[in-house]
Amino acid sequence: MSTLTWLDFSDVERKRALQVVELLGRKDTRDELGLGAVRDAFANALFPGMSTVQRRAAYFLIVPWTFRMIERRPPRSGAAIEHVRWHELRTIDALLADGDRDGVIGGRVGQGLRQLPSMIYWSGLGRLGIRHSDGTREQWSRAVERGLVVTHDDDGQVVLGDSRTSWWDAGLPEPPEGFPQEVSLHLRPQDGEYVRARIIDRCPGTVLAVLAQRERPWEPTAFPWELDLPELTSKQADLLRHARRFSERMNGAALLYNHALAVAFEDALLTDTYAGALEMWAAREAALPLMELEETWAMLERLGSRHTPRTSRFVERWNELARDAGSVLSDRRFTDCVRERELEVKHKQARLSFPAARETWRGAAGVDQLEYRWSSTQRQLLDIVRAGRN
Amino acid sequence: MLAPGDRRLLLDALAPPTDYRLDEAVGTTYTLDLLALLRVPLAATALPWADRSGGPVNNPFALLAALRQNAKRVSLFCHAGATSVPGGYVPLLVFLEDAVLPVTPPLGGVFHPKVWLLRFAPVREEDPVRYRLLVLSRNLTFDRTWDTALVLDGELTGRPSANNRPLSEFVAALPAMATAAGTEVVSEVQERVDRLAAEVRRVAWDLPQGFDALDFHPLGHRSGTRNPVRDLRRLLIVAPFVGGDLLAKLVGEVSGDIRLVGRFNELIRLEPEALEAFDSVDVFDDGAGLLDIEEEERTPSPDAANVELAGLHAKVFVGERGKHAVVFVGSANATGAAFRQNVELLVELRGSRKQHGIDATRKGLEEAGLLQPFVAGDTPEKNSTSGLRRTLQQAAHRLATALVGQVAEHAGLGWRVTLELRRPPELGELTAQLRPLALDQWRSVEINASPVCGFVIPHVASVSAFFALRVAGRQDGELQVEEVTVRVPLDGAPDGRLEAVTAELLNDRDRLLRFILVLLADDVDADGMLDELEHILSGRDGDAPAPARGTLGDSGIPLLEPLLKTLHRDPDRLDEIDRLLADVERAGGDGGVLIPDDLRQLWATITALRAGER
Repeated sequence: MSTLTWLDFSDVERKRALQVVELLGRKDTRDELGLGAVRDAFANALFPGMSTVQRRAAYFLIVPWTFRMIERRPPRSGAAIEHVRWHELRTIDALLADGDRDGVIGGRVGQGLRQLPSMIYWSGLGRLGIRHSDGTREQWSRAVERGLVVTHDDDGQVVLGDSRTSWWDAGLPEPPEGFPQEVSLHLRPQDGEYVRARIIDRCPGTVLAVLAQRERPWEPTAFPWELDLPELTSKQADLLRHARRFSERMNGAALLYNHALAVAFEDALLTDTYAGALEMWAAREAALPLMELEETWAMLERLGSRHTPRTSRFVERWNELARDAGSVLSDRRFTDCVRERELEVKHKQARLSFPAARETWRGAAGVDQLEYRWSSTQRQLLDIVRAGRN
Repeated sequence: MLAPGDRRLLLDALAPPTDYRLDEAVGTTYTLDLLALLRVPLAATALPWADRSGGPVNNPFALLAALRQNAKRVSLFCHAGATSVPGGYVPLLVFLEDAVLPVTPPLGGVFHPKVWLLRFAPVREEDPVRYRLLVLSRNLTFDRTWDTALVLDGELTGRPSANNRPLSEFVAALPAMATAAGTEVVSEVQERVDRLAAEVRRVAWDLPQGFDALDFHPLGHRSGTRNPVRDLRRLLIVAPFVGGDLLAKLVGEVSGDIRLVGRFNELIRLEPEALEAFDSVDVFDDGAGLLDIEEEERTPSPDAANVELAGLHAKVFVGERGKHAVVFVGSANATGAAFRQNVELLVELRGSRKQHGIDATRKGLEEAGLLQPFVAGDTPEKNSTSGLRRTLQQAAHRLATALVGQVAEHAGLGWRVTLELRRPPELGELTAQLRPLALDQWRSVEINASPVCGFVIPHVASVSAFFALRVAGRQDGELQVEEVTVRVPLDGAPDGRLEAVTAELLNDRDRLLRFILVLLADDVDADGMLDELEHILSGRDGDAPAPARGTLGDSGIPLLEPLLKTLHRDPDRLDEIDRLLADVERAGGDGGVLIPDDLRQLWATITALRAGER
């Protein structure tokens, strides 16, 4: 098929590009001060297999159901992955018709959807072992086209037992009657149980696994540490505590960054807004125990964090200054610290250092406190916990 | 057009359609990463071309299998002296020696096109021959930049089509550019080029959705080529590199609105007046590194050692002519050099304004959040790369096209390689050093001596036509170095190097047997087989379970059943194993591994069965 598209050398590159595209539209997801590696290390340890672009847990089933359906009845013409795509686009309407429209991928753009659920969930499905073959969607497609994915016995019947060749876990439940024409974001008890079992199996000992085993849904919170979590082990509680302190401590830097830009633009309203937020931040920080960074670095090293020494130096410096959080607006050194860091990360596009780069600021850049994918994780966990009920 | 989610994988685009196999491939590139080229033959196999984490495959067995089958079908023309030096020496690179053809552009400038032309032969004889053309904006490297890929599928017909002629001329011009660079063009390569150049005239191309006409515009492969981006009422330029003079020219020629999307670091180097006439100027900003991106856990691949680049690298000119949209994609930046001196290839596609026009394209990028308005400063930034870098690159090119080598046995110590210069270039104050890629020691290149450089290489598998070249110079007291790989024509290179590399990789019985399994398992279990081989390589033999089905001796490797299956279904596949065993045998004479007796017996039986079946 002739096409004119963007180019990726490898699948990892493509996944990244798609995520970039998904997140660019959400202006508060930009991490202006280069803390992404630390954030990722904590997020991967707390909630593996989850990502910010995922929406509802049902997709952990809908996607493999679609692929397995095509495996069992391979198309006679055309690429298998194109048939999947066709089904995924049809699923949008089917889901919207079912009633629960919240978080339907493609609910807004409809048939023009580019980043399909199978792309969004591909790596999460691998991480949870629901997809047990490594490979890209295209490789799956080629395997199906060559007739290599399911075996048929002499009567031409699909031999389901030979799950070695299917790309999907043998334990995946069968979809409800009416699939794929009828499909819902609501999970049946066996669906919720299945995803829970996969999480426990592949992500043992994580906060994700602990929460997946809860019996009752909870009131959603903005941050995972706002939940009452008596069932955490001390190790898990430690991890969460460090993640929390990092998120809270560094939020001051993000707020100060925006405050400095508001000042540069002589925007009185925004300057006041950020100043107020900083005062609240300082008050809270003053009341909390100091951050024990040595332990945090040791923990991050164990987690395989890929942050650079420069990032550590920045965090150390900020932490040091924040011992006197109340001076955040009066002491120049705070703003200097942030300005230097931005320069280090963005070079000529550093807004605080180069007027030409400033035009791209739209009033808020990266102000949201780090939440480590909690928002999409919580929603999907609640889907699992609520499975089978209304 | 070019919605950010519209993406294609390179190896997927190079892979033959179902029921076809790769017959011949001709590619072009400016810069080259040999380790990227090493992966290209994988595309023609059913072996996995991504590793567990989605990065480029590192498994040497997969690469070996693919190279043995397909490296000889590939000819890649690249700008001489613009090939990077791999981080560590990979013996498999010897399989690429005949595939890499350094060239020199006829009009000066650089050899810049990024093209693949592939001929696919049908499995069933009654099916037509198929062609595929890739016109890319990225070189054959692991760069992670935003690049376009135009992929055209076509069928070989009986009738030539006039608009294929420029493409045919472009392909036909390649060998002469190689010869001018001192590269030997052997008869197989010339025949390949001749065949493709002749047949491509008769290919009927499918066009991408929404386009109804296409034209090919090669530039700089001969004198007299013209800038095809003309006669447009409106224009949107998307390019990483921009030159004030070319922009001014285009501004003068376009009657309606003219717009630009570029890279921040390049736009700030222009004089502000250059941009005044533009109706909009945007920075392509993908926020790389700053977004909440889910990173997979992966072991860093030694190839992708570069800092992750991001940002715009695509070169697209979108215009309107009459009631159509006209889109030019390819290798040409918005600079004077692109249209006056470099060798480039642009493809012009005509299509619907609604889908592929300026407004639709720009709006798509804007809505995706990829564009930020550019505000020019008062004075342009100075060009931070000094003229010295350019001088070094040009010197590297001249040396690359002038070096020739001679190999001779060296009295029991191995092989002696001596290098000469066909036409000693003027280096002035610059110095040059060389080393064979397989060795660490640098030696000076003495321009006026004969030979200019020499090495003793102990092991035949390390004798290679690839050398690392280092050119250095000083500017304002500061030392600058340019390091590239050059491919030197070698006279007297010993036979048996490919066999030696193969035997070294398969240097014990287990690896040999399992590699044979890989060759047989060109389907379902290729992944599984390769995983087992990985285990062996990292010394974790104990972990791999040995399924006891048809064992071979006491190694527990189930060779019998797959061999019999293949004998029944696809006996020609066994030729590949014949060749492998012959190569290992030949190399084994040096004291390397010999073929195990039980395998020898088994193979004799299989061969007899085949003879019987015929």
